Amino acid sequence: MIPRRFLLTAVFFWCAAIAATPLLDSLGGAGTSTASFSYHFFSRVCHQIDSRSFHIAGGKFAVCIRCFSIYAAFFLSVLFYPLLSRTRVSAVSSRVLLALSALPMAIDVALDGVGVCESTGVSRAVTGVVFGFALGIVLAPLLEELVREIFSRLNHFLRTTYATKTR
Amino acid sequence: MPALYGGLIIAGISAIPGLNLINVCCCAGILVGGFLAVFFYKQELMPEMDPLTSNDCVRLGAFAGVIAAVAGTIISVLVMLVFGNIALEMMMRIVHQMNVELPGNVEQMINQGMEEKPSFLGIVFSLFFNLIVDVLFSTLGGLIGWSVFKPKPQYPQQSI
Repeated sequence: MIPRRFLLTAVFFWCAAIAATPLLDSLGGAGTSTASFSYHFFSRVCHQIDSRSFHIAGGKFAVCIRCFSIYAAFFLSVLFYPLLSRTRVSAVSSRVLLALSALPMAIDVALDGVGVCESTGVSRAVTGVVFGFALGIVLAPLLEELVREIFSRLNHFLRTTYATKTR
Repeated sequence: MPALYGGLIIAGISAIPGLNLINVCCCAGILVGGFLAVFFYKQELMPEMDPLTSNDCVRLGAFAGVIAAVAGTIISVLVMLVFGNIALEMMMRIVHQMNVELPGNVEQMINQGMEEKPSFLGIVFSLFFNLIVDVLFSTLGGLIGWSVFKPKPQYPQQSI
């Protein structure tokens, strides 16, 4: 249970940091400095084009609509994984699930890139949500296992260190 | 070696101007690097060797991320020293092509940024950010690689 909570908290903070950046920016002073740090950090992950981003309090989110949709859907997918794992969706092969979920996004990006059909905020959000949700279904159990492994090794390390110090 | 290949692919994608636009799609280049590290490892696996595990994939992804962060920072500093800030120049060209009017002070700041040489503190800062992002997303790429390449469970054959 703890690995799941840890994972959920981490993903939640990642999403919250993205949404909180424009709010911090609007506060001024230290808030603006923190926001500029956040914008700089997330600029490694996303283009942050103003017209392709959600806005709040007059400022843009730290990532674009598509990226935020992926992260938000990933969070929801991890949150509801215990329920989703009982459905048939989790029985679908990871390859098929990832390929099928990435297809709408790839088509949207390709059509926009070629200039056939410009992608809209809605198309970016929907295709991002589909991919993020599938990614969550595939990665949630693996990430939980990874966090469990890290915790168990950390626990082992702390115990052995404490035991050698008290000896 | 697979982690090295994966890391160098990520570094190439992240540091070469133009090619690094792949990363604007949720760090796709970094995810692909972690994924490819697992793919290369799978190619090298012999039947007599231990099968692929999720731990292997996490390690491969994380190592590829560390290599990518270090190599990517070095390559981007070299590119900046030799060619200047061509990534920023390309961005400005796109902005001008899109007929976007930038406020005077922003344009001035960008022009100043293009003329600046990389500072030691800037490089350390960049390496720190690259380490976090590259390790995180490359490990995720490694886990995607595991979910795609994991060996199929073998059920014991029933004798008739």
